[in-house]
Amino acid sequence: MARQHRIDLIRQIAESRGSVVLCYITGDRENVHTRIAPDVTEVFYRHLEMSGDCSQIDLFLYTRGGDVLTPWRLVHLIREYTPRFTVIVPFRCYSAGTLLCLGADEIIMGKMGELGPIDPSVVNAYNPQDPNNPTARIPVNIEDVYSYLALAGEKAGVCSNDQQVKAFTILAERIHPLALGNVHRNYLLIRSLAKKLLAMHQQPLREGRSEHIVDNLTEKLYAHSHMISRREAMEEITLNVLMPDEKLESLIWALFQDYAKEMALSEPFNPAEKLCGNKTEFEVVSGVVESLHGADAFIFSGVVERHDFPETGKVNVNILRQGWRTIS
Amino acid sequence: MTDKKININFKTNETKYYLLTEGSGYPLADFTLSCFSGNAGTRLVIPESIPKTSNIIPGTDES
Repeated sequence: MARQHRIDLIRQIAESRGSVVLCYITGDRENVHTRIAPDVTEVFYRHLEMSGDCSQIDLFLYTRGGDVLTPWRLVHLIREYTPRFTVIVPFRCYSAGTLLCLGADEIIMGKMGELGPIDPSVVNAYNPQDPNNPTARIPVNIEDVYSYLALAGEKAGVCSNDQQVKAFTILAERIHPLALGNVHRNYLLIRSLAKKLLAMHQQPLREGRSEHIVDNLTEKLYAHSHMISRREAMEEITLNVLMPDEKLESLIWALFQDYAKEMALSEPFNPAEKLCGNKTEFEVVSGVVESLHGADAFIFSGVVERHDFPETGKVNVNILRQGWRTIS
Repeated sequence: MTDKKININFKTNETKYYLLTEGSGYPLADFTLSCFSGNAGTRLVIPESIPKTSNIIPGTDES
């Protein structure tokens, strides 16, 4: 990885902001995705310990989301080292990434910065089977479930108790009751987490603003794939968004592009291309935590083998290890 | 300029299946994943749609 180049960019951002900069990238390279998950907490701790206490920490974050509880833990951990916490959003920062932003005093969004709704889809063993792949479970979006009940009440005129029971029974016939229980638990959890994260700001939000932000990010955007630009985040959702000046904007974008190039985010990972002979070992980096003091990578290690499959050119890919590794 | 022909298939909803793990890794479920214990039936495999504008295959003759 071109760490030396990134050190230079990270240092320039840190100097212009008067902060300690920590970068966290969860790769979305096709076939080897990574996500926000609890195993990154220890990696953050290593970097925060190396940086020590400081007046401000800027988290440079690129992610499509992940586990909804991890942002809560990460924000608490970061705030052990600083009174002021900022997230820098160069490009995608969806779902659990947006949740993490709620715990920051301010969010610096470049022109390409995007947040997303915090309306997670939940999945457990009781979720419906995918008709195209019986081994797979279809995630259920919690807002879809509540939207169905609202549709029944508002548009279909379901108002009596009997009609409400019937509407719920139809739902429970298609989605296992334990999956629905999981949906409801997460419906409550996401709102609670979002409000608690907003309450961690250095300057408390005025009354009603927290509810406005949470309502907008959960049920008022109507599509999980809605991409929230910095103007929408600032003017409609009323998040504490700052626009970087031209110099900072170009530094932020250059740093993101360095990661994107190094991790080949826009190219699918094709293990067959790694094959030399009949068997080749490979390693692919698909997540990074980096600061001036060091770098950790999330690495998939495996073997790609050519067998005598009936289909010409088909290979077997065996992932033998995956995990965070300190590389610098 | 090259005179390579390209195929453009306007796929808007390509679905792939990924293995949901407890950690950060989230690999393609088609891979053999011997680093995870338990049989395939107990793992959570989930579909993910990857919207694409086009699927460009250089060097093919079809148009």
